[in-house]
Amino acid sequence: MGSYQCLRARFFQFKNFSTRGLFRSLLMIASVAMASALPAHAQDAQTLMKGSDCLICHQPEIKVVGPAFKEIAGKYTRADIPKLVAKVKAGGLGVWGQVPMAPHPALSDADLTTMVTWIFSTYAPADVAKVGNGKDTAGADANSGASKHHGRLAAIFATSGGIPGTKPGSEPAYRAFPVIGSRVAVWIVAQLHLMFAAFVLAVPIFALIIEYIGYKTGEKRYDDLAHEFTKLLSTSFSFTASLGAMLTFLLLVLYPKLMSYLTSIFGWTYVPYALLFFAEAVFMYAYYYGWGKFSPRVHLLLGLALNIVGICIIFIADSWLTFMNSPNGVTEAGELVNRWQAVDNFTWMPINIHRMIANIAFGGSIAGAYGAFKFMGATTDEERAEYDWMGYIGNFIAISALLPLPFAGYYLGKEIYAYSQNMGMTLMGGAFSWLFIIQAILIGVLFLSANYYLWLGMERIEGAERFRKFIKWLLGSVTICFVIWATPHSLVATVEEARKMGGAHHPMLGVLGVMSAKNTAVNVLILTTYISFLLYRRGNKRATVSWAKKGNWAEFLIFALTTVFVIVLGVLGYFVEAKVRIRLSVPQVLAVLGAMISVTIIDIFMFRKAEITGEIRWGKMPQRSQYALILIAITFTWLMGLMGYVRSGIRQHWHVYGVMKDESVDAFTPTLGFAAKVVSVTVLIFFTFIAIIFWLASLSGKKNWKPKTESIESTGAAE
Amino acid sequence: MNLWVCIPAVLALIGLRFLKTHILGWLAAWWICVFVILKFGMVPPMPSSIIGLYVAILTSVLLLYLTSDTERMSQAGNFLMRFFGERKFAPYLWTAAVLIPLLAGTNAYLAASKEVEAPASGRTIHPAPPGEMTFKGKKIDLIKASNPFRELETKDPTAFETHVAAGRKVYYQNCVFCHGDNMEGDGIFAYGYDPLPANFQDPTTIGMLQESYLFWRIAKGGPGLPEESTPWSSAMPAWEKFVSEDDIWNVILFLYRFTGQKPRAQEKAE
Repeated sequence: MGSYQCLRARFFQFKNFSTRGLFRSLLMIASVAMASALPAHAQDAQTLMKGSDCLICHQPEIKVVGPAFKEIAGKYTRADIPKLVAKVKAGGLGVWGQVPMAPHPALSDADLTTMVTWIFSTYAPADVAKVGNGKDTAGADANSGASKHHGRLAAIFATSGGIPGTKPGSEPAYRAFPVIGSRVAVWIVAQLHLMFAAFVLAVPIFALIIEYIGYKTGEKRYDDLAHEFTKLLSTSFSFTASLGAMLTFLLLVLYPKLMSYLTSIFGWTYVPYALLFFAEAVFMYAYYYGWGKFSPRVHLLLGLALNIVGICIIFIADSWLTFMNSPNGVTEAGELVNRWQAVDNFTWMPINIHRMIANIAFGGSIAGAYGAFKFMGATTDEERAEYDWMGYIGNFIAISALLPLPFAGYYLGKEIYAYSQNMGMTLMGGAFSWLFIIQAILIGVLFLSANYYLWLGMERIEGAERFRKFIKWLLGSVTICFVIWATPHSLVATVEEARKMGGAHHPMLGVLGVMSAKNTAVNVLILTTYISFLLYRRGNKRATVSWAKKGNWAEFLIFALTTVFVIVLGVLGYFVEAKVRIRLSVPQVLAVLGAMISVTIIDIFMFRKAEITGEIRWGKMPQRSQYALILIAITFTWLMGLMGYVRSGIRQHWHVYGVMKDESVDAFTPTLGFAAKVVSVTVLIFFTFIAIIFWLASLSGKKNWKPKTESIESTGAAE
Repeated sequence: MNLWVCIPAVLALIGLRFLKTHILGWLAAWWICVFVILKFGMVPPMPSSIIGLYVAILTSVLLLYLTSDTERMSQAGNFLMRFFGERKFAPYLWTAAVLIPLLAGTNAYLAASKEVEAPASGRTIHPAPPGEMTFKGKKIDLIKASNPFRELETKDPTAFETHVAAGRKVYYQNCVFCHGDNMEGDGIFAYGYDPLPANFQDPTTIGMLQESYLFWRIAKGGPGLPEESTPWSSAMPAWEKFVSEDDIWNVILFLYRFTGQKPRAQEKAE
């Protein structure tokens, strides 16, 4: 406990320092080196340096143009202060290389003495320090041979390790991960952990619902499907736990200071988290292995308990990470005031809701991909029928959850803006806005694939041929919406192109790039997808109720009016003020939701005693449709990785936004291309793992191994 | 829009409906017509990045259309089999075998023989303003700040006009050189800049922003852009060194007056 408090105390001291001076990388050292309060002259020295041009050439730790302060403090002693003052004043050349230092005749001796003394008091508070420094810098030089960049990482790491006062109990603020660096290591592992966790938490939700449908309708195939879904759970659960352990381990080793700070804030919330994990394991295995062993009601209760535990787990974990985005319940210096407020911070609930829905979409898509994978490997018609149906249900779950997702995202974005306008601008208007263009394209791909799958699905329904002619128009609508949805506002253009356009915005495309157009497009897109589904559902049915014709007209009118309403509001958005425009999206959404609900109700009554004109031939599905399912799963995963990066990345150079700065070498925002590559690699690793899980899940269905002779006999007997 | 290009292309697509076209011919016609509209039918031309995006969407959508129906797909497949196998198609096959590489080569040649130009910039000129700023030692809360002269528009129109006139003077003494006579970002200096000076006639620039945002941007200029999302490339000077606080508010009035746009209203605290 003592060292823990010491760490906390050190952090806050370090924090005060950071709000005053802006010497970013200094903090790392300051936290360790400054056992006592800052010397009185420190602040003056920093102000003076900031007022002069020192920092253009000299950085705390890294040699930029001139030597780092650290190196200076290592080379000279305090006795040299007057000599150094004179040197700064006169300028110099040759001591540190062939780059000359400009003379500074305008600075007074007194000021210069303050600044130079500060260098020593910060970087060489004791003589012992000098020896330590020299040694470690030498070690770092040896390291830097390997690669320039990581040599630098190593050098910084080595020097920070060699900081004065490497006493037992004091640790560096950061350690470096070899080759890829700490950030990328934690990034990939965290993302993988999250994807598996999302899957493990989502599957029980819809497995339970499907099991319940089976229980209510008494149809065994629902029960079998739910069982098949949970087959994927147990292995995934182990993967989730292993990745979680790896993530914790990496964070503790690579970011000790951040972790001790977060521990100081969240303290005991770690305990229920760990306990709930036990409960999760118990319920999950009981749910899976107990299939058919309990009365259906008890089994359903087990599933419910599993889901409740899972939701609690995700809510606890969300509180930690959302605190890093939008800290609450702490003082400006970061000291804990109220633990519950820290948990219930601004983005906690929005992230909880957004994640729950996204998890279901993601889990459904992975389950759908599993169905596709098994379908393509199936050898009998029964298997094909079974897995075709499984893929269909998985996709249905994914798309149903996808439809409300934009609204949950909207709520989250709104809360981020409300928390910090700066963060909101960084998110939607700054460099990160390009990732939203990629997001838009991926969402377009999702909608296209989902519709495509439904259209192809009509081929397995006898009687659905009469709807084929609509595909063209549905596709046209999806395409136009997709194009509008994916058109950026600020275009990537060369200066020549920009000149022709008369600025950064194209006069015609600019119209498509703004909020009103996007909202309208996505609403029409959702509506179109719903119509595709409706036609699919009607494929083999003919309404027999007397009012069928009127019902059709009513549905048609609802769709037409809603579309017109949505488009009119969208166009109106261009002519009203921003705050009115933002509010227009609400009636748009409500109209679309209302249309979908009312049409569903009409349809249910209209087709209650419908004549079945043909059967659904499960399994009679073209292979290419299965690739659509796999594409949907990959796109979801990719989207999740991308948006996960955005969520984390908008903190920029902060660990805890506005409270604890990131002082590591990775504190910069990576280029979009680099981020996209890391996300892509993560997705590849994820699918490699998923392939292993699919294979493991298929083992239980394999025949038992028998010695060769026996198997020949048995085949002989079978013949 | 260049109607000489767009109308024939659209007519061709409409005409296609009345012809019995093979599915592949139909797809090719659609691809070509839409491409021609995108590439040559737009005035001013769209940047190539957007054309690329649209053509990619178009291509995949047409392929999806082809494969969304097994019958349609086998129609295309059968034709291709015959095209590659049957003797009577041999001359066409050879023509295609020569034309396709030639087309690709021409494209590569054209792309490589372009004059050297600066690469396309994906920079968003949408910096996040700080919550507050200091103007010559005076603290200004940017979230609450509003144009002190805006209310005169209704209360005292004559006084308002004097402020607009003062703003006009400020604009033509300082801003016109870059932002241009018509505020379209095409002043005499604009030729030297990348990115170009902002075009205020564009309804999605100042019309989307609050007056306090403009005040901050004018007062602090390029050097005052935030640390986030650096490096910025803005050549605009920090006008607080040359223009008084009142004059900045005046010129903002003039910008909106001249372009006929309205500033974004202040958000009310909930």
